[in-house]
Amino acid sequence: MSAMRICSVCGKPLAANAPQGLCPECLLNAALGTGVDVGPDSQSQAESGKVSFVAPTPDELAKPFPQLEIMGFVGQGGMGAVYKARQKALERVVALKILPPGIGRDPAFAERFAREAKALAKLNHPGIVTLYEFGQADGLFLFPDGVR
Amino acid sequence: MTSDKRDAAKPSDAWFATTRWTVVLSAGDSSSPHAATALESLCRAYWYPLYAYVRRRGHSPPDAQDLTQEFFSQLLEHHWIARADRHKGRFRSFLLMAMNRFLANEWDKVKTLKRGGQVQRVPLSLDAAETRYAQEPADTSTPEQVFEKQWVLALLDSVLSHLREQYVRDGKAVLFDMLKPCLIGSRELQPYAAIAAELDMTEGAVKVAVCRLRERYRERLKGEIAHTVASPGDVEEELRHLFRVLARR
Repeated sequence: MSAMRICSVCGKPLAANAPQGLCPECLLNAALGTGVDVGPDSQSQAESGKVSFVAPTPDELAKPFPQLEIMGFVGQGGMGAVYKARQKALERVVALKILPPGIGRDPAFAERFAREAKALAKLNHPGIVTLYEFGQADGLFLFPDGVR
Repeated sequence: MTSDKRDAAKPSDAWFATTRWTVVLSAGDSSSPHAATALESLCRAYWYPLYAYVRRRGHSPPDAQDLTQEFFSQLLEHHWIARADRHKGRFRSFLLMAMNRFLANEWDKVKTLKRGGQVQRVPLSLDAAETRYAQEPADTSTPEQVFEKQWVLALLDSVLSHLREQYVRDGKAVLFDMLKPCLIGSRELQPYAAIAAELDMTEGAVKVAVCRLRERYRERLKGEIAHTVASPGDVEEELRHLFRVLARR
């Protein structure tokens, strides 16, 4: 019996039929977070070996956000993912922005985030999305006006 | 090819109209030769995940082989595509749905008839499939999870094989084989200086070659996924779904 091979990057066991002997999970991770456009930022991210943020599925969001009905995924950028949702109690369409989980663990960022959210909530202008809510539920989130 | 690169990185509607699953869906139940070729090409790339699915559902190797062959023969001969949801259907979901329907309704009939001289529209290496299946590590995955995991492996295998073929055609097979670990690793794990010394290149040239390889890989991967979904917006979502399939192992 040959010894089980291990991926040198993530340390997980490598199957005998791994594509070109490379770890399939790391291969997909290298392509994630790059958007459909391949830009210089994504390239440097892949080069530095950083783990990309994988946006949760609408189903995964149902538990931390019971007050919302997640209607669908809108898009993903460098600072999180946005979903279209319906606030069940008020029957209004809102946007839900989820930030990558690691960011919330940085106290300085969390403080800045709270400050900016409060400042944004005070603004009311047709050209600025209104912020309804923000906070933490398995990671930071924002709750701006619905996407139309 | 520059235009291919651009198109694969940012699928335009015009380019998307030519992707395989889109061509098949647009043809609907008409027997357009383009659609038949596109469907055959998709089946050729993704038959093994379905074989693994059938095996995990408990069918014996000979039954699974007959079943897979018969399924693809019927898929190509009949107009099942008309049942696919044109708006949100993906080839991956369609294939699983069609197989479940086939197992529920058709397989018993086929088994009792047990015809001789099957028409092999898609030549499948079914003997090799069982050898491959036997090597899969035993786990507690459901048949659906086995299908999805094998789907990702088939996709990546196809992407990397095509990528390697491109390098081989350019007489750069050794370069590809030396650089491929850089597709997943950081520079600490694959020092460019060591690769440069091995390939008799400068470190700068290795860096450029690695960037190019990564770019080509990402384009090819997204281009390949585009062939199995119905609209450009589905590519990124499918990529994330496939990542989660592996991450839940």
